[in-house]
Amino acid sequence: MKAADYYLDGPAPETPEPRQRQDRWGETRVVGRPLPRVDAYERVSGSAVYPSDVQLPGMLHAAILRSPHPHARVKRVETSRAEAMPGVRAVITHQTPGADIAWYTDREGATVGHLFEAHCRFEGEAVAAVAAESPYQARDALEAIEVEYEVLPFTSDYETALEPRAPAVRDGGNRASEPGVYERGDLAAGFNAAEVVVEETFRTPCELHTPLEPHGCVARWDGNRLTVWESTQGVYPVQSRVAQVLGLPLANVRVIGHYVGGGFGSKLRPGKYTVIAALLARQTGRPVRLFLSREETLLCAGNRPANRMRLKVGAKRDGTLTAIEFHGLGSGGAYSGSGTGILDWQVRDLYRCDNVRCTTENVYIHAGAQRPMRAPGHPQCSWALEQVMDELADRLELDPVELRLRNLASVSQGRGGIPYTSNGFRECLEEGARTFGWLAARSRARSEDDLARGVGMAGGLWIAGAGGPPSTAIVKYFADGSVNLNLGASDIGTGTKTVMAMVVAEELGVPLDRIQIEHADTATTQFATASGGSKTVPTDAPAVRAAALDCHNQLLDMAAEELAVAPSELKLDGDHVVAVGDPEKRVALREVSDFRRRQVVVGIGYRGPNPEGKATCPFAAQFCEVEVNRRTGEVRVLRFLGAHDSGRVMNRATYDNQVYGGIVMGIGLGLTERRVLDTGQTGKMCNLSWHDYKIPTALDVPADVTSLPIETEDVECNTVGAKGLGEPVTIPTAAAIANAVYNATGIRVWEAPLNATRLAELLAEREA
Amino acid sequence: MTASSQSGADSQENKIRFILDGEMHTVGGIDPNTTVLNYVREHLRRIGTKEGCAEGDCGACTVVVAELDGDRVRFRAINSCIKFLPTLDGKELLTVESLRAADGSLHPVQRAMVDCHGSQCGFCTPGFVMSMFELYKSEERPSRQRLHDALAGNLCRCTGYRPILDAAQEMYGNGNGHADDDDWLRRPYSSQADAEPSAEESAMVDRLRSIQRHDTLAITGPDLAGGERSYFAPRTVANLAELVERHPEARILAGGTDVGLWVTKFHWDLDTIIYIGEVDELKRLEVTDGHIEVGAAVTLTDAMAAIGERFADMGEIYRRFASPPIRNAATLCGNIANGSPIGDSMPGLIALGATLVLRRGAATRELPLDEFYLAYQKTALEPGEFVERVRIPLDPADRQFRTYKIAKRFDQDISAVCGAFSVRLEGGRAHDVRVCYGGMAAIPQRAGNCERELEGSDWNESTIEAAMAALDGDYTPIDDMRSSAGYRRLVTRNLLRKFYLETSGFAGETRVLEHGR
Ligand code: FES
Ligand code: FES
Repeated sequence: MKAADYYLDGPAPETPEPRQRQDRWGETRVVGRPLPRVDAYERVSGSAVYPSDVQLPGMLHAAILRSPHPHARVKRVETSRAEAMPGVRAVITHQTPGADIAWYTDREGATVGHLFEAHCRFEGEAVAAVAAESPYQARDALEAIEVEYEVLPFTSDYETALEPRAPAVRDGGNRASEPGVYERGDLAAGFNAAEVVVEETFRTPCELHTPLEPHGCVARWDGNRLTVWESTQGVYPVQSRVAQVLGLPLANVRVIGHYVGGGFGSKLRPGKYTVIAALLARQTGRPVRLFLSREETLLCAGNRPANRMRLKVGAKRDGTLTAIEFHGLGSGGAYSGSGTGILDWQVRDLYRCDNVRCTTENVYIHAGAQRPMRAPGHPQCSWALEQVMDELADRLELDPVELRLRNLASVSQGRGGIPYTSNGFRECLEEGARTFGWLAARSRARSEDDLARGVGMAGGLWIAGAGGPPSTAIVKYFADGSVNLNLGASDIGTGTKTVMAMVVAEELGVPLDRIQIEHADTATTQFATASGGSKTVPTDAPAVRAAALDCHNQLLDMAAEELAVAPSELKLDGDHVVAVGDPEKRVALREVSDFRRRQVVVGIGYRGPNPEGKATCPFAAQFCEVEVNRRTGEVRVLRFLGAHDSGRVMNRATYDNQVYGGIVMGIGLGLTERRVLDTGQTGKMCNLSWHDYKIPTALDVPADVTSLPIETEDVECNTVGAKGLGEPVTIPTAAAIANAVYNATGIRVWEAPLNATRLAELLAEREA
Repeated sequence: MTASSQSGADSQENKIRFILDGEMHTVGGIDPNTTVLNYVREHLRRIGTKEGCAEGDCGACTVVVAELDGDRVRFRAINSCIKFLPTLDGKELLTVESLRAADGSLHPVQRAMVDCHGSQCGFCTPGFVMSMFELYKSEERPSRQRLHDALAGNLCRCTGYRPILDAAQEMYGNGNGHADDDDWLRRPYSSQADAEPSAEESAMVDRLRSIQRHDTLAITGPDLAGGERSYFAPRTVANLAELVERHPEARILAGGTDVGLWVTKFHWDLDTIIYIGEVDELKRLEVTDGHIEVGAAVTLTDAMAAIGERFADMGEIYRRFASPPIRNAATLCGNIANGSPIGDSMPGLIALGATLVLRRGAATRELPLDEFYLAYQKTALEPGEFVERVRIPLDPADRQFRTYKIAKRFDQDISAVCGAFSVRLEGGRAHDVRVCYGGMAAIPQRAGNCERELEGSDWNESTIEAAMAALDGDYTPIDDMRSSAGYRRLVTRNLLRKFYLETSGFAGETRVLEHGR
C-alpha cells in the first residue's frame, strides 16, 4: 500500500539525480518568514483568471444529462426534440459515433463501463450531453431529451451491502475486493497479556469535498491539437488520461491550470466532464465550456467514504498497549475506488504495539464514487483510534497525553520497523499540551448548570508527506538579475508558488518581486505529479533548490574566470560576486563578460531520491475546548490548538493557514457534514446544496485557533527539510472534539458527525 | 446576448439604468430573468465575481449595491447570482473590479487580505472582499463577534476563516493616513467624519438621483425561445395593486432570494415579474406606540434591526437566519408570503401576536399570522392579493417573550426545531399564553394543549412538567434529514423548560456562549 498510488495513474516517471551538492540550510534569510503570497494581488483584485473564467470567442456552454436513479438501465434515448431547440449545437449520447468511449476499468484494467454508460450504477451517471449557445439553453435542452429508464433495485447502504438480499451492484456481487489483512505479532497473546480491554464500534459519515470552484473545464481544438483549461490539482494527470481515452499523442494535449478554486483531492484527475467537453468541442468546431452545477459536484464529483470501524485495544495497567484489532468497512461506490484505502494506517503505525491485526472490507454500492479527500482514511481512523485511547486513559486513570507518551513508537512499525527520518510526535504532544494549558484546563471543574465545558485532544500521523521524485524545475537567471522559475506543479491555494519563489530567493538573493513563475501548463512547464497528499513542497522545493543552485554555480564559474579566483572561493552577494577571503575582489554580474554574451543562465534541478530504508511522516497533536448545552445537545468549539511536526516551516503564514483551514475542515467532519442518502425508498441523495450539506461558516469556527509549529530538524528527508502539512492538519480534529465532549458530559459519541440530535438523545437517555 | 448596452445619458424609459464605476449604464432588450451575476460575467466580462452555487448559499458572487437613503448613500452586499438585473435600476453597482484604483493599487480592504493571507485558492476571495467592503463603508470598527456575523454569508473551504477575520480587523487601519486613500470609497466609515456627507458622497447621491424614476418601470425582453417576457417595477401601492390585478399570473418579486432560485435552479421561466422593491409605501418601517409595522419591501436586515431592538431573542434568531447578503436582499413579508421553509422567525412572530395586512386592489384586510398558513405551501392569500405589511404588537411591559432555535449548525441552517413563548406573569400565574413551534408540523403551529395547560396556572415546576407532557398531544413530528422525531419531541419539551428557567430567576447559564467571550 503506497499513499502515492492515489494521485498517479501509472508508475511514476523517473527524473535524474540532481547534479548539485545541496548542503543543509543553516540560518535562512528568506525561507520560513511569513511573506505575503506572490500571487496575492491577482487573487484579491479579481484579476486571476480561473478555468471557470475562461471565455473564448464563439464558446459554447455544455451540460450533462444524468441518471436520476441510483440504479437503472437506459432503454432508449431520444434527442431529436432537444436538437431542434434554439441555440442547441450538439447532443451526444453513447450512440454518437466517437462518443462510445471506455471509461471504467477493473483492477486488471478490463473495461467495465463507458463514458455514457447505459447501465447506470449511481445517481448522477452521465447519460447524454448538450452544447448550446447559452448555459440556460443547454439546461433547457437536457430537459427535452427523453430517456426511458428501466429502474432497478438498488443498494445504497454500505453496511448491508453484503447481505444476500442486497441487489448486486456488479456481476460478481457487492464484495469489491478480497478483505485486506494486515497482521503482526500474536494477537491472542497480546489480549491475554492485557489488563484492560476497550472495544467499540465507530462510524464516520460520507463527507464531500465541496471546493468553492466547481469541477469542469473549457476545451478548444486547433486542428488535432486540444487545449484544456481545467480546474485541477495536476495538469499532467489530466493530460495523460485525456490523451489516452481520445487516442491522441500526449504532445497534442495541452492542459492549463494556472488557478484552481480548491480541490482537496477531488481534482487530482480529470472527470468525464473533461472528455465530454472535448468531444462536444470537436463535434461543433467551437470551444466548449463545461462546468458542473453545485448539485452535480455534491452528487458525483467524489467524496470521503463513510466508514464503520470496530476497534479493540488491550493494555497493561501502566498503559502499555499489548494488542490492537481493527476492522474497517466502507464503499468507494460502484466502481474500482476503494472505500477503505489506507484506513487502518494509523492503527499499524502511530502507537507502539507488537500485536496488531487489521482487516478491511470494501463493498460496492449504488452511489457516486469516492475520490481521495484530504488525508484519505486518516480522520476516520483517528475518530476511532483516538477515542479509544481517550477511553483507555480514562479507565486507567491516566492523563490522555501521558498515555500517548507511554506508547510512542520509535520506528515505523507498519513498514516493518524502519526508522523515521525525523519524529516530533513527542514534542507535538508535550509542547502542544503546555501551550494549550492542558492540565489546567482539564482540572477545571465541569459546570453543573445547563452548560458544560470540556477539553480534549488527539494525535495523528499522515502516511505520506515525504514527497519524492519525479520533479524537474528550471530557473532562468536574466542579465538584469530577474528570474523565471518554471515548474509543472499546481498551486491549489497552499502557497506553492510563494514557497518555491522563496527557495529561489534564498539561494540567489533575488528579491521576490523579481521572480516570475511559469507553472501548471503541460506545454510550457516540466512534468509534475498532481498537487495532493501533502507532497508538493517536499517534492518540488528540493528540485527548485537544485535548479537555483545550478544557476548559482554557473554564475560563480563565470565570475571565477573574470576574477581569476577559484569558484569555491566565491560567493553571490546581491548582484555581485565576491571572493570569500578578499572582499576587494568583486565583480558585478552584469560586468561578467561571459554572462554578458549569454544574457541568461539556465539552471535545471531534479528531485533526488528519498533515503533508502527510512520513512518520512508528518506528526500532529491537536487540543480543543468545547462547550455543550446539556439540554439541547448543542456543541460549540471554543478554542483549538494544532501542534504539527512537518519539518521545516517554509513560510510561517502559509503554514498557519494550512493549520487553520485543516482544523476547520475537521470541525465540519466532527460536527456538521454528512451526505444523506435516502437508503430506504429511492436511494437518492437528499442534501444536494450547501444549504443542506453543512460546511462550517465564520460563525461555526472558534474565535481562538493557534498554530504551533514543532520544527524538528529533518536532515535526511530531502534537501529542504520540509515534510507535508496539508493533510495532517485535519486528521486528529474531529476526534479531539469528541474527546472534549466526553470530558464535558461523560458521554461518548461513537458516530460522527456529533450533532445535537444524537448528543441530546444520549444525554436524555442517561438522565432517564 | 442580444442585449444592447451603452453608457451615457440618453436613457429610454424601457431600459434599465444603473451606475457602474461612476458612469451611467443603460441596458435594453435583455431577458428580465437575467441575473446580475450572469450580466456582470458574460456581458461586462468582469470575471472577478464568481459563481459557486447559483443559489445564494456561498457568497462567491457577492457584489455591493449602493442606493439612496435620503441624502445619503447606503451600501448593501448582496448575492448577485439570485438578483435580477432589472432590480438594479436606479442604483449603483460595485464589483470587485470597482475597488482597485485607476493606477491598479489595491483598496485598503484588499491590502488587508494580502497582508493577512486571507486568500488561499482565492475563489471565495472577491466575494469576501465585497462583504468586507460593505462593512468597511457601513460600520466603524466592529467587534470580533460582529465580524464573525458579518462574514457568515461567505463560505471558504480553505482558510478556516481566521485569516479573513484578521483581515477584516486590519482593514480599518489600512484606510487611514495613506496618501492614496483620499478617495471616499477608500476611507472607512467613521461616525465623526461621515456625520455629514462628503463631497464625494454627495456627488454619488446626485448621480443616483439623476436616475430615479417616478413612474412604473416597464421593460420587455426576449426569452430563450424567441418569446417575450415582461417586468414591472411600480412606484406606488396603487399602481402595484392595479398591476397585480391585471396580471394575476405574475410573480411578485421582493428580495428574490426564493424567486431567484426558481430561475437559476429549477429553470422556470418567469414570464411576468412585478417587483415591489421600489414601492415607496412598502419600503416603510414604522414604530408607533403600539406596533412595529414592516412594509413588504423592507429587507430582513432592516426589519431585524427594528424588531431585534425590542425583542432581543428575535434579534438572535435573525442573526442565525440566512446569511448577511441574503438578509440584505430578502424581505420579512416575502419570507412570510412564500411560506418559505426557513421561516425561523414565524413562531416568534406568531407568539408575539403579529398580524398581516393583505391588499387586493383598494381593499385591505388584516389577518392574524397564525391564521395565514393553511397547510404546507398553502396560505390564505387570494388571487390578486398580496401582503402589504406585517404589524407586530409591542409588549405590554409585563410580557415575557423568548424564542429559541435548534439547528445542526449555528447559522444559516433550517432549524430542526424552533420554539417561541409569550406569557404575562401576574401574581405568579401565567396569562395570555402563546406557544408556537416551527419544525414540528408542516407549518408553524401553536401548541393548543400546552397553552391550555399553562393559561391561568401557577408559574412553577409542576405546571411546566404538565405543559411539557401536554406538548406530546400537540404535535406529531417526523424524522427527516435534519433531525429525528424523537429529538424534536425532546427538544420541544426542553425549550419550554428553558423558557421557564429563564423567566423564573434561575441563575445558571442556559445559553451557548457567543464568540470571543
Ligand atoms: S454563487 Fe453562491 S451565493 Fe451566489
Ligand atoms: S480561499 Fe479557497 S475557498 Fe476561500
